[in-house]
Amino acid sequence: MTTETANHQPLDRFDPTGALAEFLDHAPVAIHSVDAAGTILWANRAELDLLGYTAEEYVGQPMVRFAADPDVLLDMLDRVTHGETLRDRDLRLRAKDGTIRHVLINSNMLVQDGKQIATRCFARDITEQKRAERDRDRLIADLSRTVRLNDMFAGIVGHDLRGPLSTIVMAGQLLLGYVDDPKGVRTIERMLNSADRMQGMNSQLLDFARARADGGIELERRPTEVAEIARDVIEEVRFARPEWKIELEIRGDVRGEYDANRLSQVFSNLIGNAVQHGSPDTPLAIRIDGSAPAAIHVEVANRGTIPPELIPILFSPFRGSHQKALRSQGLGLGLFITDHIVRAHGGAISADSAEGTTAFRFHLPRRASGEAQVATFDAAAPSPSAEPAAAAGELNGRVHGSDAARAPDVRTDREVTRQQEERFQLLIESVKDYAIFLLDASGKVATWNAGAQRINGHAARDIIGKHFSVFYPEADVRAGKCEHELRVAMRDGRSEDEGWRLRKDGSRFWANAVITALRDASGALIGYAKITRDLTERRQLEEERVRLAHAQEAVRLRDEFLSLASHELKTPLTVLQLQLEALREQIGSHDPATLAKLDRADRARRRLTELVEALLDVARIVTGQFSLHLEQADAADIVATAVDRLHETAAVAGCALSISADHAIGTWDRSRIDQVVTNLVSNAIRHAAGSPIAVSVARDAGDVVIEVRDTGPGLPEGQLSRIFERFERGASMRHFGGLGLGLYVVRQITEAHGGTVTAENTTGGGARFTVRLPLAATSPDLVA
Amino acid sequence: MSHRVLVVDDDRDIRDTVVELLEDHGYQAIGASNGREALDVLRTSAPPPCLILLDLMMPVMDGRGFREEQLKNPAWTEIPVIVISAYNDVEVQARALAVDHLRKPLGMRPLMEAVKRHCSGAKDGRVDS
Repeated sequence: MTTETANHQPLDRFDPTGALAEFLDHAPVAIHSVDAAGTILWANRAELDLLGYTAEEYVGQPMVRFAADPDVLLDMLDRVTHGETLRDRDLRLRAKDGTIRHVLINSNMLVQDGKQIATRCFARDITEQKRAERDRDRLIADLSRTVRLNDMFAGIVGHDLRGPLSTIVMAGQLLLGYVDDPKGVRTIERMLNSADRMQGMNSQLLDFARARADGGIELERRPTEVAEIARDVIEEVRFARPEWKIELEIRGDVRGEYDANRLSQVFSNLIGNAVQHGSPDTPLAIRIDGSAPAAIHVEVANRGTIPPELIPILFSPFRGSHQKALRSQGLGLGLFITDHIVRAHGGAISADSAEGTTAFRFHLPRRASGEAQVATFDAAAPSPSAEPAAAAGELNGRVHGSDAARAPDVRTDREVTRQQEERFQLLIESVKDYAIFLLDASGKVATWNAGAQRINGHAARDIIGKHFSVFYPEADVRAGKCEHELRVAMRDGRSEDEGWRLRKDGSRFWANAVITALRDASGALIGYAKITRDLTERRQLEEERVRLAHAQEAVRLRDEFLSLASHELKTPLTVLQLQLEALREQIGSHDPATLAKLDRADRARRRLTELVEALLDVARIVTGQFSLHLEQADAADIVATAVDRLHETAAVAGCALSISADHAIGTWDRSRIDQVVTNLVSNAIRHAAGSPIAVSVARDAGDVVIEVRDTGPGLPEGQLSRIFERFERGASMRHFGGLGLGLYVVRQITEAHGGTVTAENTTGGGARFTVRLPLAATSPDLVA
Repeated sequence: MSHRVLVVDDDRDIRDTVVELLEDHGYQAIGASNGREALDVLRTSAPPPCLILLDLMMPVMDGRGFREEQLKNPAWTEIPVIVISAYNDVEVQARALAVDHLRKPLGMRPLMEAVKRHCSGAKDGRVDS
């Protein structure tokens, strides 16, 4: 509000004692004033509603009584008393129901005739905003952590599975040299085939992890002839599936700088996909068109239709309920990886299915141009209030003088109480969070304040006298929205609306606007007061919440995917196990060299099973599918069974494994507690090879305490607190295999039983893991 | 009891492996790649199998659909079924279908023990040894 505005469009018949007092009292801004001693002189309804007090309970009390941080408030009062103007200062107020309200305070001292009259204060409630911000921050942190862990996890799984798979392949190939009869050969070949399938899934998992990692898939670009790559892939497919007819059409120059291996993968995935889902009766057509100078265009088409609802999710790794419809065998990651490779080359891929034909089309720019495209999670949102802030700052400098801004230059009733005048003056002067202005009866702008300038962007001299429809988008104006709002305000006293409004620069903001009809003493309409709040930020927060919910859904689908991946891996694993056992039967137990190879392959198979089980466990835990099957059991019995099974492994590692167990009957999930003991003892065997390991079971009041002690090197002190987190390992990854999931699973199972697990180093050296479980499990469900 | 086992699995590797193993152990084994094919086998071959090893997730007709059809025909209702699946809730699913279950990955011993429980001795007697 400037002096300029005060002289425009007087609302001649405006009577502040009636309508204005009412208007102030109902204003959607919390306002109060306190005297020099800090006693509350007056507060409007918004303020009372904010804190839940009645006027009797609030007015007349020392303000400091309501401050959650009295020192902060006293400091504020002190500053205002010394002439300072407070802008957007954080304060926490205590509401009547004990809750804390976060407010932003704008305050200064009203001085008249050189005398300090009162401290006036606007409080803007930002409790919800604060909570939303906190929730959002927490959510973002959780999400990014989950995403990072999952990607890392997929990467680790990929690496860890590779070792045992190679062992099996090598053992199988060696065994082929020892086996003559066709049946044995077939058995080994089937075994190798299973390992191959697992390798295939595994490289998909690895690519998936790489595609998700920051750098994405790395490319090695070299001058490449695309037709040659396509021909090689087609040859391979023809060899494996001779019944398929594949046509290749080349046009123009099909050379460019590409990663040949990755392109080969693209062709292989697309052709493989067509072969998997199509029928060999109709030909598969591949067209490579190099007639354009900048890019090569490729089309892979065959007969067959993809349902339209699946098209948008074809290139997504997580297809939720559609996953089953889309996959036949494997992880269904092929198209996701294909899309990623094409995009890393700066190109794009699309799928189209109509009239019985499905075509995948992609283009590849011949040369790398700058950065590869990487999809990002956050889209930077423009700050809606950044621009007008400077203008508001300039105005703020001018509005604090005692007569710089009065109420619009109405012919004031001389009887108006000083307090009311003061309130109104305050209201329009200092408010910059709200556009507060008056309209005359025809809807033309009569006054303008700092907030209005900040939010709408117009300076007072430009806007006063103009119809308020300039703030509305054209469609709203055409629809008669402005007239409608005035009509409602006239009829009901007020109208409220939330919607898009225009700034001076044409940009939109999301506004909440309240129009109050102002009437003179005789009840005749003299104009309107309009308060507009810029809610763009709140709306953005809501939109962000929706976006986060989508991201959360993506994480959930990803976890579902992990579960599917481990499930898929189990099928070839079963074949592998059965074939290995069959081979052992067929070969007999005569030849030690053959047996040694079989043993090696079988150890690798066992290791694979463990890894896949761990993968599944984690997937179950994060998807919340992990449930306990409780039954009455003796802990001593469960622990002894698990320890018994590990004697052989311990002996190989040079660990003497001893057990002392008291009987302790309780309600547990037998197989899960077995898993806890197995994981802890396996962990000790791995980390304390060559030293004794002691396991004990003891009753302690209503609990059973299971201890696993070793005398190995102990745990690095810095890692004691993190050792039960997912993917944490006490030792370097290179030294010990495994996914680092064992202890994480131990903690989840223990906590699901209502128990605890701790790790410590013993004074004599070595590590001690202590699991304490209530005899009756208190928490049947696990919360991840 | 006969010694014919019906193996229903869409994964060819698994199906062939199990069929071959059963044959090695003296059983007569028939493979089917989905529930529909398995129903055809039941309709066209006699005597009925002593056991059906059933995968759950299959195209065309899944394990659940097969089981529903099986129970509609009084001649088939008595044939025992063992569900073999990698799904973690296989136990729950099997209970819902009122059948036994085995979990993947699967070793030879539990498989053969299960078959032995339901089927009579095979021709060459290996199963009874």
